[in-house]
Amino acid sequence: MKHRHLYLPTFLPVAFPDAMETFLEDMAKKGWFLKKVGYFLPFCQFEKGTPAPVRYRLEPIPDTVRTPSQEMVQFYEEFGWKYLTPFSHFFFIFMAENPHTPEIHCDPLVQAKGYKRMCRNFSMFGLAALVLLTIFLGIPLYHPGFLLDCPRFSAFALVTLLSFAVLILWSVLRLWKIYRNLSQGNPLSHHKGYLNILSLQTIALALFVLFLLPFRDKLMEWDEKDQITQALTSVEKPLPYVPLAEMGISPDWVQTPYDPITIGSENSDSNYVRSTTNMLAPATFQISQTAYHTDPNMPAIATSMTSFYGELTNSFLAKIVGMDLVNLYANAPGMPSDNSKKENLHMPGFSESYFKNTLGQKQILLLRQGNRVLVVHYSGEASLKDHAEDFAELFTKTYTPLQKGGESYDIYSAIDTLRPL
Amino acid sequence: MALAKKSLEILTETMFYVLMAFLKTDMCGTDVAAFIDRKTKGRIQMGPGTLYTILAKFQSEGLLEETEIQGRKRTYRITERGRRIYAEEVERLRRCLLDAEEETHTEL
Repeated sequence: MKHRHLYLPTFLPVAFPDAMETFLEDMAKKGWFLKKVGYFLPFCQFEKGTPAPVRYRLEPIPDTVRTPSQEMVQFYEEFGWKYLTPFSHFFFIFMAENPHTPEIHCDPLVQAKGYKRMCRNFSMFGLAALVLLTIFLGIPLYHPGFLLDCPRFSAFALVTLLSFAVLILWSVLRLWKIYRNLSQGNPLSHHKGYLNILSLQTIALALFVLFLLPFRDKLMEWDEKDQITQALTSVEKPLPYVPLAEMGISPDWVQTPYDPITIGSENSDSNYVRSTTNMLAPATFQISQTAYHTDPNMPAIATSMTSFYGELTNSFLAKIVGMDLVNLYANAPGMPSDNSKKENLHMPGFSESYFKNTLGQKQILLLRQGNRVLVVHYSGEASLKDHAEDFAELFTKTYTPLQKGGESYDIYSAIDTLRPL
Repeated sequence: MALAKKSLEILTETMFYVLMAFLKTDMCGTDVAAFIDRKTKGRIQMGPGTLYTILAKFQSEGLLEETEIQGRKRTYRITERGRRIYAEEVERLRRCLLDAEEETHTEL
């Protein structure tokens, strides 16, 4: 006779042994009897039979073993409890076909001994997982510029990681609560609803699956589509930048206008303004200016300046974004690590104002006034410090982000048009 | 027995009965469960999880020792240390009972 089998995901976490017992007993009442639980893959295998009021009990694994000893299996069998399968690294599952079989445990204090060891092991696992999650959660603080560039993706990643952290913490606390109740002499309940736990875990898993699927890329795409890029020469309204020409420019140099069509060529990313607006930063402008040598025997780039200006929701965010950008500019990939000291400019009316001359002609200037921050990265013969007042002047005006519908440039559409059919 | 429920360092009620079971003869696990069921007139129905844990703990602490292994069936006997701890627990319980009786019969 061929047996019918049913495979279900193991959705109940190990912190809910009582809910797992109730779930398995409910399945047995419908005629589905547990055969095994996947050790590495999270699924339960059930076999169809005659519905019966059998009982299931989860016993904490005594040591770091994957299966119980033959002696233990026989000992339990003599009392009417048949060993079925391990559940994760923490429990063995036993089954009693006779509903009147005495309980596996009759002394909560003795049962607590088994739980204590298991709680310790699970807490170590939980702690390791929480440390990893904390590292991931700390990434936005380490690189807050990413938070501004991809707010949707960052919020989604944050919610997903936090929900996992809550789930792990909740599981650890629940196991210790079971242990505390047992050690106070209160017997363990063997009947607990599992639908609410199922719902919560389904939400966490759904978020995780979405995280792995292209939805994550879609979010980043939406985030990047919010960035409006235009040629500097095409913008008439005031922008928070000092023109490269004011720093000193040679007649032998040329500033190629930003041209979206030439994307992929060496000039494609120069002389543009990129503007975004989002919940964390009502207005940000990234302005790139580059002048090129006309003489082909000279290095292509003669001088360049990149500036970031942001009006953020609060001064703390402005401070950490400023720090992040200074580090980013000072430690560009492929360059030696930055050992230069910052020189405070003590400019009146500014919360922060400092200058760094990192390597040769590579200079960085940071000005912050409360929640407004300007970071300038300049490579050229002039001194950024000498022009600090010109940059401070930019703080006397207010700037509105670029609007869609102007001569903005959608980088994704352009890439699509360049793809061969 | 409520006094003995503070930790496993003190004998719980089930631990006390397990030691009692070995006073007169060597036993295996099912014999112990049957003895306790008979002695307590069904009040305590020993489960395999509790008994397995207690037997392992008593053996590691030198209160019981293994005497025979037949197939997978293990038989244990009580050690001198086990008898001493059992006697101390009986004495402690006797004093508790005497105190309780004295208090009950003392006139206000």
